[in-house]
Amino acid sequence: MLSRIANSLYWLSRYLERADNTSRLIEINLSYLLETEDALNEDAQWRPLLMISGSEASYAERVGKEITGARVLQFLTRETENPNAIRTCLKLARESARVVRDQITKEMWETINELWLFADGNLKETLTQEDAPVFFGAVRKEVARFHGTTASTMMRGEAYGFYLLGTHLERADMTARILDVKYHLLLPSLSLVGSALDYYQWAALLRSLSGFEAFRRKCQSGLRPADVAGFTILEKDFPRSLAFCVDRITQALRRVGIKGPEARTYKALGRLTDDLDEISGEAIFEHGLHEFLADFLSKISLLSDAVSWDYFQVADEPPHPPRLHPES
Amino acid sequence: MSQKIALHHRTSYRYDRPVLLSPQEIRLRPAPHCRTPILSYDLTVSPDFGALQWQQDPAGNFVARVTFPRKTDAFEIDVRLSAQLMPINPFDFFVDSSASTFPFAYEKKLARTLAPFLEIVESGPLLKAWVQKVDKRPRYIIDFLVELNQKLGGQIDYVLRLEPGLQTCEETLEKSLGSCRDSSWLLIQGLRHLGLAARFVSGYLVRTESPELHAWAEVFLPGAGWIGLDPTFGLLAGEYHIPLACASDPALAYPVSGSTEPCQTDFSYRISVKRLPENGDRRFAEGPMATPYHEFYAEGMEPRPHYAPLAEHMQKAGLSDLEAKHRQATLALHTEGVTFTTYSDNPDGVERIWPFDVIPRVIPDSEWRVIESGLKQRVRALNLFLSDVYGDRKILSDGVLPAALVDGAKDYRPEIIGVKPPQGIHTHISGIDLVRDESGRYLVLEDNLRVPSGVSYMIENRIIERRVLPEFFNRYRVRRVEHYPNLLVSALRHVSPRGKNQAEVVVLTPGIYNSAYFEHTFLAKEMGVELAEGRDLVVKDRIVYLKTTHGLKRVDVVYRRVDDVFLDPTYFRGDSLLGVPGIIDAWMAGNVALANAVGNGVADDKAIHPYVTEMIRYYLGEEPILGNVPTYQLTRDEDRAYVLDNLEHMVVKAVAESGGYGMLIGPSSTRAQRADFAKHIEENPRGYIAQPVIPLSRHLCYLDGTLESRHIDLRPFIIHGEEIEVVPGGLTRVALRKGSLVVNSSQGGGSKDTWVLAE
Repeated sequence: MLSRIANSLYWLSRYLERADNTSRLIEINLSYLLETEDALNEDAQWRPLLMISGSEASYAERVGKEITGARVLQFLTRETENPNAIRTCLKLARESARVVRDQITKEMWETINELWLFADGNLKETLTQEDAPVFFGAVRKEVARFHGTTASTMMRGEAYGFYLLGTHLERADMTARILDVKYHLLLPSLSLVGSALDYYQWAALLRSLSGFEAFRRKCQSGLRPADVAGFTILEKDFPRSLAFCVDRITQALRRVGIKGPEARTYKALGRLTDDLDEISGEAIFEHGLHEFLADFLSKISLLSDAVSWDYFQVADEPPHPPRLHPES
Repeated sequence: MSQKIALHHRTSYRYDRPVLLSPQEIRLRPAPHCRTPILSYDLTVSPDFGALQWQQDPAGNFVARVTFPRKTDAFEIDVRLSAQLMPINPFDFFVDSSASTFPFAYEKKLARTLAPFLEIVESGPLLKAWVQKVDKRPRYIIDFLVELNQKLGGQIDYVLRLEPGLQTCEETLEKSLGSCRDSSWLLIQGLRHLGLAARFVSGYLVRTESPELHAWAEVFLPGAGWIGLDPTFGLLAGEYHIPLACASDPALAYPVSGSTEPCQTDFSYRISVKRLPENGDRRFAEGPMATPYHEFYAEGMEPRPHYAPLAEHMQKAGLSDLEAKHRQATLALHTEGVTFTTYSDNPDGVERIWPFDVIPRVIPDSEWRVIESGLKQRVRALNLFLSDVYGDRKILSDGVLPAALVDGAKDYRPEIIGVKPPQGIHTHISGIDLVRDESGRYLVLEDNLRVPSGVSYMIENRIIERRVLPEFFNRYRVRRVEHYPNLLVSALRHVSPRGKNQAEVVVLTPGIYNSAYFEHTFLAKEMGVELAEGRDLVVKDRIVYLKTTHGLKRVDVVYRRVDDVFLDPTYFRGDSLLGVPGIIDAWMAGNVALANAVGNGVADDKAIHPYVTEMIRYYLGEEPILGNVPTYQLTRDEDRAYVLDNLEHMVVKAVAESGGYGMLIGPSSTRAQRADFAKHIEENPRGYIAQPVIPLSRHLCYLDGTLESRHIDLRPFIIHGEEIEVVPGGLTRVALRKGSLVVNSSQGGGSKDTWVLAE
């Protein structure tokens, strides 16, 4: 298929996944801050969201030094200058979808078009505290509808491969970022292990990955940090874990056709899978979780570059710039 | 001398058939110029489907206007107020020099305003003659008025006249007889003939003996304002006179005005006034007249400090905002499928949306600390009691509790004496119902130690409240409740016979037709455990297994939401299809933990309830932190005689029933119902207990477009695992029917989110 079309399909999926993850993060943050026993200040409550999306610097530049809930909400939902804002992501996703309208089914197009119209209509003004949960809930549902529609209407061909690839690459990236940032923020509270407060913070992390109930089934004996990390990284059956995503990325690349062992994609994928195949939860901790995740993120980034190089290089548009790493 | 009093005034109209009522105007709220401090005021109207609106009429009186969309065969108005009676000097005013001497003329502008109060309506010969005879020599105006008032008082004898309407001055003078209305009207007309502006006042006379709805007159004196003259007693109005409505024409000041379709009306009223103790602790005396504690408002309709931010917010947002929130909440509950099933209207059961009121109940940290420590203490004692009655029965041999009460309890199970449940825990989960008395003190109404339900609604209420009213939370620091399932699963794993690291936990449900099925699924999901029905479990060699796609899997802990008697057909009811044959044997062998343990019903038996405070002293050597609602033991002759004599002030409960079934609420019962219960009590005194009517505290609720007060209680949940823990919150249940004291959801109760505040 055309590189340009493949590129658009891939980015359509990535942007959609990014919008979905961002809205989950904000939604959980908003609702868990309502009851405030932990008495964190606004900065401590909202800075992590900027860190996760790697937009601390761009926030400081466009909004200012002071971090408030209302401003972060505005910045992450509708700031036109923010390439990772939900509105921007959905706009780009829809534009990509227009480019590939002939490759995707009518139902897929309608879903994404409706989602854009809905989001654009609702983000004319900054969301109020009352409207926010309704809005994020709707985004979550509409993205799920898009995936469901895709699963039930799209041919399993090369195009489907790029859709899978974009979705899972972005998801792996987001999960790793969320885990990295949240884990480090939560570390100081390790002394409180088992307390109600600790429980809520880990639960919030899992809920922002839609993994709370799944985790519960697996581990009933409380929310131990090592278990949570192990689950979100290595659990092959949990659809947002790193292991699951990497597995789907592999399947997707097989579908679009991996170009020989010399191709960049092949090498980059190999590094990624080796890492996960051979490691245990304990080893990750010994090695250091942050180091592990930083390494993982850089490999995802390498893979993303390799995919651009191998499949989209001849496209009209230059490849999208990689996002900044949360630590930088 | 200052004295607090509480007045209760009930007016009732009964019609011989359902009729449509025109809008009814009620003028029964103390007027702005009332000199006696009013501490609290409450007006309620029945039927409560009417919409009530407060307005001011042209004369500035407060009017409650009630409109009814449907027919009704009764109309009742209840006024409750409390006031501080302290001597009022009736002469505490200064008359302008221009008016200090009789006769005087009002200044022009003033005269124009006063025109309606100077209007001469009657000029009959007797009235004219009476005016003629008045001593009109110039003198101090007050002396003049006092004399005139006394003279009239002495001349017209008082008669209680129940028929509506007014006598003309001629009739009153001719008979020298009249009601307070009649002599006031005569005085008013007399004053107007003498060039003085006067008006008619309807109000309460709050004497403790024979309080009444009274009438008097007021005269306008520049500099002094409206001065009350009571011709019935020949006195100036004082602290006992509480003006409600004033008007130039008596018909405009009637307490209730409005019309009905043609029908026979039976009218009655009752006014009582009682003295209230002065000390602040118990603001209201006990008995049927006691005014319930109001959670939201302190005296004088001032929001309590912990409600002030909420009140301010609600005021700003307005009713239309609350309506929007209410709709949003209902919709959310609907789409999430938060329901419960009732069987009262339909034997097949009706699945209803969980009734949720958007205004939260707020409990300050200081109150919660008392509740929490009291509940923990209570659960510790109850657990020791269960170990004891199924062990050495020491409390019985020590004579603290009559053995007959225990042995006669329906849910005492002698077949399990000697069985020690894992970790010695019987009461893994308790739901203890708390109410507040008139002084706001928390009392235990009931312990629920078998299969208490409602905890999922506590959590759902919070989820909905957060979604619908995030801005309410901004003003408070509310403690979280959603870790309840985590505490629960830890407590359940703690009692696993194979140790907490090898604990297969299941929730045993009676199935989808159970009224709490939603809760069973909720808890199973949140804990990450299987939700099993009886047929999913099997017992082999006294070990319980779960039937799975991969064969049998051993079960260690069964959180059973099935009553004792349905648990095991080989032990209790052989016809039970809900149970698991052999599960009791497995439990007695120590191979499985049942939560809650079998036989707990003896500890929450209503006849044993009064002894729980004794249990606390006996087992713990501590004074109970939370008191009990007093209970009359009907097996005691003295108690029974008293209860039978006072049934209309009692709540009678069948000891074997729960959920609000088998109850008599004295004050709202009929004679026939009382006779029926009296018969049952005589026949089976052990089967019933009685409690004085506790006027459950009230809370503001958003109902049908307005704010109304309704009675509430509180059910916190206590988990006994390695430690005893109480989640900061609980289920606040609301009696949605006006005046009703029954909060059970199966009986039309609603609920509120409960906010325990962080320190």
